[in-house]
Amino acid sequence: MPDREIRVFFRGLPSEAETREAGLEVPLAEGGTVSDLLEKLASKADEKDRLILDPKRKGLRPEFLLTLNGRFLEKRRFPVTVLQEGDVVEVFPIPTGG
Amino acid sequence: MGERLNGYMGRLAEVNLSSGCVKEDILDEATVKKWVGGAGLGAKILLEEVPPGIEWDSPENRLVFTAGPLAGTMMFGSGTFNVATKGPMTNLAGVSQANGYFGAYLRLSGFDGLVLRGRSEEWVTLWIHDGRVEIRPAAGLLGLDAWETEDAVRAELGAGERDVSVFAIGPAGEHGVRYAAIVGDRGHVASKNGVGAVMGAKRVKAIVVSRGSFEVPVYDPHALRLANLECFEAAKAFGTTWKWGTGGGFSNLARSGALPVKNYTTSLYPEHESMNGQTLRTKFEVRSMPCFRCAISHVKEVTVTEGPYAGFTGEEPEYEQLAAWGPQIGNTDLGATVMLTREVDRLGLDCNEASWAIGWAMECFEKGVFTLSETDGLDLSWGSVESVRTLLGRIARREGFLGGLLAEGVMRASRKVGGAAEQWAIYTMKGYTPRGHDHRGGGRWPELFDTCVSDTGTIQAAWSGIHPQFVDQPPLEDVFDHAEVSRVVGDFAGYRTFDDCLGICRLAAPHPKPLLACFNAVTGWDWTLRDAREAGLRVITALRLFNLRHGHDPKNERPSARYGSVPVDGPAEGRDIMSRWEEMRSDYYRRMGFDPKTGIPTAETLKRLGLEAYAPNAG
Repeated sequence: MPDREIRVFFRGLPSEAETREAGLEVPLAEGGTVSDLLEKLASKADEKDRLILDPKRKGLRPEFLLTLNGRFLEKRRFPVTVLQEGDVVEVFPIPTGG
Repeated sequence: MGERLNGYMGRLAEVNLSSGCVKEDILDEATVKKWVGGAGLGAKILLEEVPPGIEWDSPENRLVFTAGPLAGTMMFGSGTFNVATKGPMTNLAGVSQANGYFGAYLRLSGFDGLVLRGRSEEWVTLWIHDGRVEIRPAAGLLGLDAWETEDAVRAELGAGERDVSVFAIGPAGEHGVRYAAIVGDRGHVASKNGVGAVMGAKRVKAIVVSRGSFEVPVYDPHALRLANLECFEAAKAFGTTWKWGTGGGFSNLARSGALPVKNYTTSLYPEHESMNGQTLRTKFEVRSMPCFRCAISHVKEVTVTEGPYAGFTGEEPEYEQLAAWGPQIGNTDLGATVMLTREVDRLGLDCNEASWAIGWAMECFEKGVFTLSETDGLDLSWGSVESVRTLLGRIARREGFLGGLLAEGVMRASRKVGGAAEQWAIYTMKGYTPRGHDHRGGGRWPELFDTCVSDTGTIQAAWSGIHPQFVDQPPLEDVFDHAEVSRVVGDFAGYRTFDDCLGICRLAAPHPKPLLACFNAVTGWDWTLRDAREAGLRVITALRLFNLRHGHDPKNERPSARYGSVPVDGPAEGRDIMSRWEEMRSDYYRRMGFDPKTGIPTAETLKRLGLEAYAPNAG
């Protein structure tokens, strides 16, 4: 089976004043979960990405949130949520403001 | 004068407005080691000098302006001050901070604080300079808005832009609007729990402080310089504020369902990217308006460059104003938010309460509860920004049916109208409204909970979220986990209240550790984070004792029906914070050293904090 293409957006870093608007197209094998996606991203994370992704946790740093197709997904559901072709994942820090 | 006390001028000025007498109180070391300054000194004075039975508009209420040990030092953003009083929104304690220059100038004029008691026969202004306080007639200032007042006072004194700091009330404070603010230095506000209404009740139109020549005694200036730079680095790393202002988080709040949209009738606001801080600073002309010695300089003046309000100049809307005058009222024109922000500040209203009140009125208009008859002819359809502008003026002057109704605040207005409309109102059962978010959304449950259990009249542990990792506590892993939420609020409570005692802008020093290093460098003390938290907890507990004495029922520590409702759409659709509310509240009480059932501080807690003398059954 071909990999599924998952779109991932990083919406603003907590430690630098810029936004990475361009989404990534991430291939993921059939049956791949949100945890699998984050582990894959974390394993390749460069210094900048490590502000969001923690290779030791194999996933997000604790101060980040994730939505799947515009709905929140709790961290405990990451391992059991299977991603489908065209799914959109958005990652952002617990928002500041106000 | 007593011995030099590092970090303090050692003097409070007390003005009896009824008699016109001014006296000085000496601040000793034992007092400041217990109460620190700012919110702490304000809490102490309320607790000791305002007994039960004194109403918010009574001459015997106190209005306490206090800086803190860091104010007026070389620290960036050290112009902050605190206002404490018994406020009209809750008839309980209110503490509120404002930035700008006032806190620093107060200290450079020789005082750590100013306490107002009594009520003046005629309207007056106060002028603090050269270690003394002058009471002057306010003739000719009545009816002026806050900015006009500032200009008139400067002109009268022949003072240049930064020679004096002026904080004034606008028409809202003169007319006793329950959420009137104290506004100064072009766009800075102490706005919570109606501190401006109390100032109006005392017939004080403005307080002017000259940039004096006193010097704040600092124990170790070199250590302060280094710790201040650490604060600066932490500030630059905090969110997107450094580059985009507090509006930089606007779109992520939209993506997490935490923007207030049309009075919580929806959580969807697809226009958010055209209304955020990034767009504002990219499209409009922006100039810096820094506070006292601030290198962060997140405060700006802005000129609108496109749309119906092109050419309009005002202070840059911060996140709260973008939310208030954008999604909450169904507006999608960024320029209009600049116009309404300036309007609210000039009238001297609290932006949050005003926008919740008007959003609620707009929902009432949409659903037919209000017609053109109740609105005195105003079309209050969502997004009608000119109607909102007119209505703000009517509220500030209590004009017409709707102006008078909304001047009472959301809780009282909605209860007066009753029926289904009462269920649409967003407020805490204590009487005040939340800040400008949809706290039901992702990452904001801690602030919803904190807003309801707080003893300050606004948030207490939260600020731009909760940051347990800053003090080496476990982070909030699941933003919709009830137990996690009460845990982080209870365990983090105290740290931000300690900040509110210091006289420093939080955006300039968001991280508790380097901030504590600054505090130690200024005072020469050797406090730990635990000491700082204990000081903050002492202030919270003192405010709670005050509130309990003044009739607070902890059962009211919950949101209104709409504030605690389940989002009907958006990222947080279906999430219900209320399903385990009682459990969360008990857990919070336990963590705070309050009785888990009654919410009353235990005898052990009072003893630990040195508050036994104020126990509910003491003397």
